[in-house]
Amino acid sequence: MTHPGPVMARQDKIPARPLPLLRHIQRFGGMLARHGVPVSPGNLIDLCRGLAAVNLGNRTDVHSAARSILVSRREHLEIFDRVFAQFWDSAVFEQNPRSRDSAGTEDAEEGEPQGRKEPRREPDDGSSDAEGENTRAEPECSPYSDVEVVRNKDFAALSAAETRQARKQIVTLVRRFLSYRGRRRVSGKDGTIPDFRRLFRRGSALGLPPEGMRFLKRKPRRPRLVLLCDVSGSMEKYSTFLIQFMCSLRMELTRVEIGVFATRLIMVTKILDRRQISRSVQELAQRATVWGSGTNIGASVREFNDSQLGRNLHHKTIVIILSDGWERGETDLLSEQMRQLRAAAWKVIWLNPLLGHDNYEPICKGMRAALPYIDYFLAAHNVASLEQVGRVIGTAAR
Amino acid sequence: MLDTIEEIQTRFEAGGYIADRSLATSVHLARTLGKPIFLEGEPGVGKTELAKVMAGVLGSELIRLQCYEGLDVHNALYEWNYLRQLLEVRMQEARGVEKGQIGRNIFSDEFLLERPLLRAVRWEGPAPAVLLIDEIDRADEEFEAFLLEVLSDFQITIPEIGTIKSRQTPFVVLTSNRTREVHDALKRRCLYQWIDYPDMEKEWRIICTKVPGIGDQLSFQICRFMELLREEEFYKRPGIAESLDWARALLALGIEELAPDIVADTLSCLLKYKSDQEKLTGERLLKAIAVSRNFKAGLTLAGGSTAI
Repeated sequence: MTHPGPVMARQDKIPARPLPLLRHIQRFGGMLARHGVPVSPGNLIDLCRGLAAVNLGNRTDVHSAARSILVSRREHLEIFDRVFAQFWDSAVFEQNPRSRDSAGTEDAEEGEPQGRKEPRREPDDGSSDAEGENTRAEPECSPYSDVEVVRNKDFAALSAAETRQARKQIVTLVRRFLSYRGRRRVSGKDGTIPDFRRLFRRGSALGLPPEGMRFLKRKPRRPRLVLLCDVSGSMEKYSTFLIQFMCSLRMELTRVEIGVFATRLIMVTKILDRRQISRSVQELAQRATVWGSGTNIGASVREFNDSQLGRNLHHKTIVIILSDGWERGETDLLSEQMRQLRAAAWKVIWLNPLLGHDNYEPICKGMRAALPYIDYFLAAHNVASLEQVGRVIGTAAR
Repeated sequence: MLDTIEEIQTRFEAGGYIADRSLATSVHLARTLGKPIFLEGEPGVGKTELAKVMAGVLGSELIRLQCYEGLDVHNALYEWNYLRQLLEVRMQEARGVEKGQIGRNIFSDEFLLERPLLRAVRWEGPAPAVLLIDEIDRADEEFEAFLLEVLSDFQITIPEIGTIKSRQTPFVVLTSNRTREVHDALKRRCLYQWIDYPDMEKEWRIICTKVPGIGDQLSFQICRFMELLREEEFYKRPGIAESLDWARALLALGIEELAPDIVADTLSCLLKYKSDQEKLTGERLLKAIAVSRNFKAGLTLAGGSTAI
């Protein structure tokens, strides 16, 4: 890297004309981008300016300089180090033709680094404990035959048309309740704190023609909502409804993140970011190999904590877990992870479809382990119960 | 001054801040490229301290903007002093100033309350000011967007006065504890630096610099103990700030080496959560102390051994 031109020798693989440092920097940027570290041309220009300010003969300095200019996330530091080593420590000079060829083709994928990782990770987990869970004894549930209104009908028993109706109700409900007053103040016609800024600008405080008093009020804000849906075998009868529910939520609210979990967690917000529900559902089904398999809530919550802390999980987040609490993994892990989740999030709400049935008590070990760290434990088996949920989110957010 | 990476390291060390080479490189680049430096890391690893030391080294002022939820332009940039304006108008009336002239002067510099960002922009030198925007993750997204604008050209427009352009670009340090993800647009305008927990040698040097009068034996034991502690799974792992607190506490108690009861009594300097404290009791605590006490500095402190 010190003397970009002459160092590379392999005449057979590289063009005869020595490539200047600039070319290498450009390719290095491309290589980083292909590995999921976004690099803008502006960054590369900065890098060129920056390299002029350090000793090019010192590998450590060049490395730290490039790192602080090109990387802007902690997660990318490790990738950067690896790519840097691979690229500048001779590898680049030997594999020159390849790296150049791939530069054009792979650029297209750049936009979706996550999408590329996901399919690769799936096979090893999803298949391992996919079976077995369904054979476990299902909790008894009494069929709801006496109620006919959609409001009180169990989600598992809803027809397609009823589902649509229920979905609409839920969305209106969630929107109505999902706002709270933030700390930022805006000007308004009533309130207790005079808005001097506005009054002076209008001149009314100076005895000029009055236009009415102005006050400062707290501005309503929307909390961030994270919905983690259990899609394991035991929740299967609710799953059709759940998907539709998630899709409609995603369409209506921009500040909602959605993940599904069984043995592991998959964040599906991006997939649901489409206008057509049926396509989303298809894509979801393709991606989510965990669908219908066993449950490991502890591991899934850990995955959420580890990957989303500071991003979608912060002090303004209301986390909603939708699960029946049948845990196959370690309950110690579950309670520890729930504790961490509780510490990081604003509120944790657990929705349990079984809670709506008269004879249900949270006695399964998973549910018992999680209970101490839940702010609200609510039923979610029909629209009426979700209205209750909406009210709770509303109060929680105040 | 501060033209090379080595010089930055030396000057910082003289100022009581041990910067590793990669951090010093970032500081150097921040100065040459005129870009803000964005520091991320666990609490208590010396993010804020860097700005303070930088101000000391440059011999200029540290202008600090502490972020919080709801922080807005008027608390960060400028605000008019309404009370004074009001009084001025009343006084002019009392003095019998002509009606058309009343209140003509109230939007002038005299009635302007300078907030940190404006102060940084109006700073005239001779050395560049150090602007510390602390815990940017606590401010909301709206403020971040506004900051983006200020940091890109260091130019502020006040409608009543005009545009103020900075004569001398300040050295800007942003810090974040990662309670939320700061937007990429802002981060990418900065030089990014992740500050990790220090290795043992670095921590030892920091303790020796910051806690004068501490004995070698105790300081080695503290460093080793801290190293062991950070390998454990705690909810909140102790940072350098905690090590320093602890070292000062032990020094104040006149302790020369670690012993189980002393560590147990002073554990609250290190672990700030009850669940974490409960994790470190009994066997585990005794073992950690025993390992720390047996620690022979020269063997492991390869780099630092020459200094010992």
